Amino acid sequence: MGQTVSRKKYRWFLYGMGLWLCILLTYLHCNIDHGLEPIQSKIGGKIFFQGDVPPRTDEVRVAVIKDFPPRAINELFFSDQITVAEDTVAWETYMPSGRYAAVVVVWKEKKQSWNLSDIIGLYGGTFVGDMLIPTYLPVTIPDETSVIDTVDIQANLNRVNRDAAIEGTVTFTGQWPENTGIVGIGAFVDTPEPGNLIDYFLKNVALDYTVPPFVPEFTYRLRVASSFGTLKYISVLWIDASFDLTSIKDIGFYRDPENPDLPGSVPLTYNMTTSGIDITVNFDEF
Amino acid sequence: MRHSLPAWRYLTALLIALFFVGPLFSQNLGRLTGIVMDANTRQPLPGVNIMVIKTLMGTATDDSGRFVIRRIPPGVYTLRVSMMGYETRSMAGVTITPGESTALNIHLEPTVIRVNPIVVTASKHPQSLGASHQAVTVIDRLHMAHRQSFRLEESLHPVSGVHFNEENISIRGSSGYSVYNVGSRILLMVDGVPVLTPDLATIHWKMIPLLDIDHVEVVKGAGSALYGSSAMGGVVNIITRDPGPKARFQIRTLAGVYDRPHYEIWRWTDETLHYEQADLAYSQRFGPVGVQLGFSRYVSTGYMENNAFDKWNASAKLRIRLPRQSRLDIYTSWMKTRQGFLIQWLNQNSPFQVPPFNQEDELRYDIINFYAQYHLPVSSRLNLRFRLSHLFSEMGTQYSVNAPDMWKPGQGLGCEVQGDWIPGPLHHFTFGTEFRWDVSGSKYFQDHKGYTVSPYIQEEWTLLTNLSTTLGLRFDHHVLIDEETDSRLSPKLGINYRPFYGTTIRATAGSGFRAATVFEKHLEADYSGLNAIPNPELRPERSWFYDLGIRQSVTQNGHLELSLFQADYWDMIEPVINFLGAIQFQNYIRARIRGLECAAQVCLWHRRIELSGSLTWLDPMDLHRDLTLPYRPRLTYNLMSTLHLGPASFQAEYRYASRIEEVQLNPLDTRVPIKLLYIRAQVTFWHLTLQLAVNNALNYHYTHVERRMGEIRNATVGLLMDVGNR
Repeated sequence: MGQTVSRKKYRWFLYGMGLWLCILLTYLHCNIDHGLEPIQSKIGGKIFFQGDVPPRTDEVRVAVIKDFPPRAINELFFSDQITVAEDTVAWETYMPSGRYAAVVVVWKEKKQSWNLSDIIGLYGGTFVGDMLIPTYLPVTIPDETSVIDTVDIQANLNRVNRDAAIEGTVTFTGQWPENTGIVGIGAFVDTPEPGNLIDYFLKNVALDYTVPPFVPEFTYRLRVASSFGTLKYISVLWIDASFDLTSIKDIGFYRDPENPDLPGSVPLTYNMTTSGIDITVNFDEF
Repeated sequence: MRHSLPAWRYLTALLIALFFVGPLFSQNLGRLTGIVMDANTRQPLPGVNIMVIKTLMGTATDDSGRFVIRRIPPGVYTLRVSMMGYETRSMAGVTITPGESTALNIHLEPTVIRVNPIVVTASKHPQSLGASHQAVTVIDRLHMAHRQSFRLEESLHPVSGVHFNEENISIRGSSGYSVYNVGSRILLMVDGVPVLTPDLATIHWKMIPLLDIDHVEVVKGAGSALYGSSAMGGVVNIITRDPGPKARFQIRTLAGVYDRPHYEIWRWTDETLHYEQADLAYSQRFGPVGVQLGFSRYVSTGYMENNAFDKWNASAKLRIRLPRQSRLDIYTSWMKTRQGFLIQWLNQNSPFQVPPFNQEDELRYDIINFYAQYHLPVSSRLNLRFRLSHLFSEMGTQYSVNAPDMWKPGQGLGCEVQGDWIPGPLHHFTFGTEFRWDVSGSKYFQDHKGYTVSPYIQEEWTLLTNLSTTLGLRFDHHVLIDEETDSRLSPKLGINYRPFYGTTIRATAGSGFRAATVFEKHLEADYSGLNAIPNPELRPERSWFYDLGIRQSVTQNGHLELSLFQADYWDMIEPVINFLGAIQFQNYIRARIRGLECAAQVCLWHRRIELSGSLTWLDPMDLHRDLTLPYRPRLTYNLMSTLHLGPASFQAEYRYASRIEEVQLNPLDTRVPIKLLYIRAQVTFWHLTLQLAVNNALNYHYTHVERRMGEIRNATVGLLMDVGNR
């Protein structure tokens, strides 16, 4: 085979290959794309804590939310842990540039997962007593080197100082939907507007999402902070098997014993458990 | 029952009867003898395969390139002569006369590209690639050697339609990403014996030493009609080498170093990170007994924190040639690994480090694979194969040393009887029954045991000389003891049409299914902040697969292949992350994956330059939710050029995968396409081959799965000594 190609052609071929390689290496040297990069842009500010640190505190972090409300917890960017040692703590985290719909401070209880009811602060939000007024401000990081250090947030630890409790039984009647994913029991300081997911986030102060699907009844106990004074709405929440938070439905609520068409209120007392907060869910009605 | 003959006696009687049936056919028969030589050097070629088409007869050449096929019924036959490194040759019009010997001199042309190699996986019997009704790609050991692959999965990257997310293989988008590679939709086999683990249905790519491998066949599309559950996305069949007539000894040593990350901020250690591998193989035939022994050791510091790796392999194969051209193959392999286990990086500004609580995490695997296969040619038109296999798989972590019940050994026992019958020149029946018994247990998914019985039949019908059709059907009866029973029927229809010389048009429609593994149904765990929720209601997934392809040879120097495909899925099983971050395996009610795939290979300048490329475009959709299926890149391609200059060769390979559109774990993380460049060189002198390679030469940083960095730039030096090679 080799004899059919002259030595001269062979040499020119090698020259050509060498030249091609030099051009390629020069091009690559100047234009190499290295793929993923470190993040240089930052977001930060101060957190002004109110209230005492609950003894069951595991950690506190800032969560930055791209689109509000998020469909799932993995749509949040979490900061490193915040040390809750002083009333005012500076925080900072690397974030890719872009527009972020909301920034919240979340508390996590020891040996528990992150919980929607554990939001203790919201950028732009204010507190009336321990009640969070759900107004929120978006944050924009304009470019890849920007540092936004003005995201100051008030955080109220009293919201998770759960020194009171309510308990009761949820009775399920009718046929459970086959596409049931998660069922939970939530306690709210104000009645959330139906379909308004933000209300479900920010007016919720306690949530137990461990109700096993397809059971006839479930006994629950929710711990809440007595500083809220009164719970105005306690309901059973249902999410479909896709686990998408936007599929949330209110399938039953605690009714006022004297006027069963209306939600019942439950006053909270320090170190006391209020029993008999029973709820009936009839799947045939929805 | 006392008076009935036990089942094993029936089986023994059947075997004895079959053993003596052969001679009944041997009256008035002829024989074929000959020698096979290299067309250029005129040197005899040992180990060349010779098949008599439309029969089940065949043999291989001996040390001096000679062969004999005895007891051939009189007639005119076509021979197919094939060997790696040479072009497969068909010889028509070979006449066999009663009581006489027909002698042939055969010359084979050396080639870099094998246009029409012999494959065994698509139809469970040897056939030329051009006659297959399914898309098949063959990766032979020469190709693996040139690519300097020291991991089997590395060898499969250039195959069109194949994509890897870490060790998760996906053929034509069939799979996304699953932790531990659990619930594979691709069936991995060794010599036709399934080797998915009994507990997690996982592929362990490192389970056999690389020098054991002769070639790998990749069958794309649903293979459930022949292979049952787990073959719904395709089949990868590793064919191990047969001991040659001469003693052969191979040693391959390899050492490499990892470069530092491109960005200063990411550099986390001053140590030099490195890896080393040693492979040994020895084979020889002693009379009728061929022996092959293999050993491999691979150690690595890893290229990031807690990424160290330590692997041992050993294997042994016996091929015992018995009277009347029957043979017994026995193979066993052992693997032991210890490796760091990464969940995710510390953060994007420390991506090569892990959180402090993961720094000691470790995974351990011990796997023993065994099979024995007895091939019994009853006549020139009837072959039987009996197979017995056992797979032992034990998984563990650093915690399981003191908690043996954390992961119990998985045991998979299998047996199969297969028959090939050619009643006439137009029909080829393949039929058999497979039985599998699986036991597994763990504190994470409790103890389970079950079995599957699967009869199957397939007919290949030659309608015209250039048109054939394949009809196949398999019934799987799966029982998970004290839990559930499930039965599935998997049909298949294939057509192969060769309108012109070198052109093959093929079409396939077939169904596939996969039963959920016990891991997917029952996993309940809380590990490093990741919660897993069981889903006992998980249903088996089902699919229908359609494939239309054309393959065009361009003289002996190249070929082009184009395929259009679509797979419709019902109840596809995928891991889903719920809004609180917990993982649960769920059924996607309806999904569809369609796409286009092409591959081309051409040799130029007297076969000194070899160019090849493959491209796959996918449209993977979750139709129920109108979302792209997760972890499936829409576009992947691979370009490779090799320059052969005498004993030296140089190779450059570029691999691209588009940015993954949909992920499960951290959808807001930055994701980038994958762009990898590999540069390789090797030179052979005497019995030695020196190999040099730079992998990921551009030091491109990427992730297959969120928050786990892909391999960074590394350079390798290897030395292969091959003594006794023909």
